[in-house]
Amino acid sequence: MKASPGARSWIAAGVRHELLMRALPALRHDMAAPVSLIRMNLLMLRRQVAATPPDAAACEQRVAQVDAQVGTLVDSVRALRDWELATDHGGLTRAALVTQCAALMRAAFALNGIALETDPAFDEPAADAARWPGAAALRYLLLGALCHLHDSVPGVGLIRIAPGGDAGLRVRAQPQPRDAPRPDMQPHRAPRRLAIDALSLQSLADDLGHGVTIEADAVQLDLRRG
Amino acid sequence: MNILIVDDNTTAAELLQELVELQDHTARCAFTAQQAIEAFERERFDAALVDLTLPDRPGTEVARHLRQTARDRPLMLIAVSGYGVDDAAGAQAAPLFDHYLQKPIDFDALDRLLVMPPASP
Repeated sequence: MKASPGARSWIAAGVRHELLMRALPALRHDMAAPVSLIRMNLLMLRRQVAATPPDAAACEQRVAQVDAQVGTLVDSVRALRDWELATDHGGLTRAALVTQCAALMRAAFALNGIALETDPAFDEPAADAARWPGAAALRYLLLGALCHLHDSVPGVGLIRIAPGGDAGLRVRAQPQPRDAPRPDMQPHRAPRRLAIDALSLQSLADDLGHGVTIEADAVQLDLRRG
Repeated sequence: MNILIVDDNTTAAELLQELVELQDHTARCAFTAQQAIEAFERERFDAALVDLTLPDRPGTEVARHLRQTARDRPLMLIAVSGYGVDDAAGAQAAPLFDHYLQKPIDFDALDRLLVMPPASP
């Protein structure tokens, strides 16, 4: 039996949900970290205010640190708000997309013994770099490619994101090198019930309206819609 | 207790150091996994508070290394992370530690842990 368009949309919705569940810990982490700092600063501030005489300069420094952390927290709340597919603020550059998605997955991959590397080209994006509409869809697409390679390539030790032409990304999985500089690193992966297999990734890309080419150890994404 | 605080966020590490020192502990900060390993080789610590996400190696690798280096010395390993213990990352890390504290840190819980005797190997 062949999947109907409606069934493929349901598959895509399920894949998006799984990807959000995988990204959520990082999103939550980015909110928890500044809150933790704010609480620690307030504890110290309370002590400094209660001192006789209060150390005004130290108090001011604490307040400045709290202020900076509130700014970080606001950025994290905005990132969560912008997650939804309906939200789009004029698109985002390829480098920004890569930076965002790598940040969301890097820690989870690292704890699985998989390094996530991005091409140096993304570190210095051109001032007039193209902005791609549909930021939320592109995020899902790139996260889908990363998680597909994470789930499906045996013995993967490195996943690398590089430009793929002018309007694409190439994500490639490589095995753990034999002379890896971390000999005591032991990849240990929790069994995952909902692996992002090739069919899931293809359904996601079709539903989002983007081209994707899935190979055994690589995925090529087209940032253009249609 | 002499406590090693391992966190790449220097502000967070130094604040935590100030707070545990207020509770009459001594503490030292390491901002990378490598710094933590070197500090542990130089100095004897009773407890280590280890962030799971470090720039050079995962916190899990630091935990393994510290436990191996401590050998038969009691050492309390406490994971500190914004990741929950039920997240994929946290679930894998938790078995390597004696305790797991999720950020924002519950300081009362931390104080209670730091008056407990370190776990024997």
